[in-house]
Parts: sequence; structure tokens; C-alpha cells
Amino acid sequence: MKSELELEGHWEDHPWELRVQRIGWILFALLILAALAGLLGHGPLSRATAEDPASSLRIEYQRFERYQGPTELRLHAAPQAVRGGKLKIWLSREFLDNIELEQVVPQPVTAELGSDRQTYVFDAPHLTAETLVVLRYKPTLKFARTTVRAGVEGAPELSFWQFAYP
Amino acid sequence: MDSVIRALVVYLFLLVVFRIAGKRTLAETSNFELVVLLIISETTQQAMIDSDHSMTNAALVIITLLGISIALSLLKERFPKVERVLEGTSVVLIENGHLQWDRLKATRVGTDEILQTARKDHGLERLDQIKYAILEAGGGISIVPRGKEAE
Repeated sequence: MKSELELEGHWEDHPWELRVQRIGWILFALLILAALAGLLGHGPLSRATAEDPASSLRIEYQRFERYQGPTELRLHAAPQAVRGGKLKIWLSREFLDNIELEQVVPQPVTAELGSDRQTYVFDAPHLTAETLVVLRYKPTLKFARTTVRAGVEGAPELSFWQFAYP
Repeated sequence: MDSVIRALVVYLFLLVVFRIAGKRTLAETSNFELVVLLIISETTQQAMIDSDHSMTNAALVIITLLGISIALSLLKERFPKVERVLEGTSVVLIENGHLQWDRLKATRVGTDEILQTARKDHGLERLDQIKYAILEAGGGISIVPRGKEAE
């Protein structure tokens, strides 16, 4: 029977609309779960740790980051990393060139430029236990995977990857 | 993870706050109420976005808000009690032509607001032309004019 109501289209004529909507809901749920798990930014599956073979430096980092989203590296240096009262931690230029560095805590005494790395020097004449250096920054890459290399002077290097979402 | 939790907390906070504030709060957006609404939205936005201005964060916040809204609508459909708790119930303000003063006072609705809706929606001139005036769960006022009973 033809309806008297003047409508452009009838809901029953477009069964795909409801199907697409339901698929969309499932997609929403999956994205929310992925975000909660830490696959789209910070979260349990994003948190990771890398350590050099000599256990001189351990870095807590996030695997998944976001473009211009505040994040940090937590660098734990062991007492054996100190040489001549100085703690020298270096990071690869490839990493530093692709971030907006906001803060290094504690502030290094000086920074030494190298061709493929930058070394931060801290005074640590009486270090007897593990110490923490925090690097706060914002990634400047979108949809990019970068390899971060780091280390302390005189110890083997460590490396890990990070992915930045737009 | 933070984006989803922030959006969830802000959504639930707003839900509770607006439920406590009552149905009529910001329901009739006068010029000043519109300004208050804009201030609330700006403050809310800052709490949800924090300092992460990435597209991913914005997309996740939007998806989370819509997701909660869909989940609540499904819950309300399945459990009517949830709807009553979240949105409250309708309140009859004029019953069979009689003003219910206690309900008007409790819901902070004035007869001028009822008359305004009656004029706007039905072109009515006086209160005695109204058979029923109902404050709906959503905060709007519905009017059933006298004479409808004859149809």
C-alpha cells in the first residue's frame, strides 16, 4: 500500500544503511578498546623498557606516540655509568631531529654535539645508586616509525622503535 | 588510553551534574544561557583534550563520546529503569486544565514558559486553552490544547 506521507525515501529500501551503522559501532568499540590497550597512544601495550647489555642505562618509553602529543623518556642510569664524576648520556640525532624537546630534568651541565648523536653531561661525583633523567618532548613526525639509539659513554648502545600517529 | 578515560570521565561528570541541575537548566537557551553553555563547552573541551592536540586524540575523544552515547541508548532500550535514572521522568504541569502548582514549583517552570510554548507550537492565547502541559524527560515542554479530545 502506498503511503500518503511524502518522503524522499523509505527506511526499508536501504537495508545496507543499518548494516553499515552496526559495522561502524563495532569499529568504534574496537578503536576504543585499542586505545585503552595503548595501541593508539599511551597505555599498557605502549609502555616498554629497553636496556643496554651492560645494564648501565635503562630507558622507559612509549612505543606509540602522537604528533605534538606530550610524552617523555625516562632514562635510568646505573652508578657504573659515571666516569670521572660525570654522567654522559647520548641520544641519536635521528631521534632528536624529529622531536620538539621541551625539558631535560635534571638540567644537564652541558650538551656535546656529535655527527650522529648529542651527549648530555651531568655532574654526578657521588652517585651510588641508580639515578633518573627525564626527557620531556613532543614528536614532530606523523605516521612515522623511528629508531631511537641511546647509551652512556663507555657502554654498549641500546635501541628501540617508536611510532608516531598523526 | 588517556583520551578514552578523559572523555569517559567528563561525559559521566556532565551527565551527573546536569541530572542534578534539573531538566530546565539550559533547556531554553536564552542569550545568557547560550553564553553559559559556550563557557561550559570550552571548559569541557580543555579538560578532554588536555595538551594533546593530535588528530588521533581528537578522533578518539569523538568516538568515545559517541560510543558512550550509543552504549547508553542500548542500555536504556534494554533496561527502562536505566532511562528513568539517567533522564528522569516526564512531569505533568497542567492536568486536565488544572495547574499543578507543587510540580511547577518543584521543576522551576513558570506559567509564562508554558504560555510561550503554547503560543509557539499551537498559537494558543490563554492558559485555559491548554488541557495538558508536560515537562518532558528531555527538558522540553509539550502542550496538548483543549479540543483535541473531541477529535
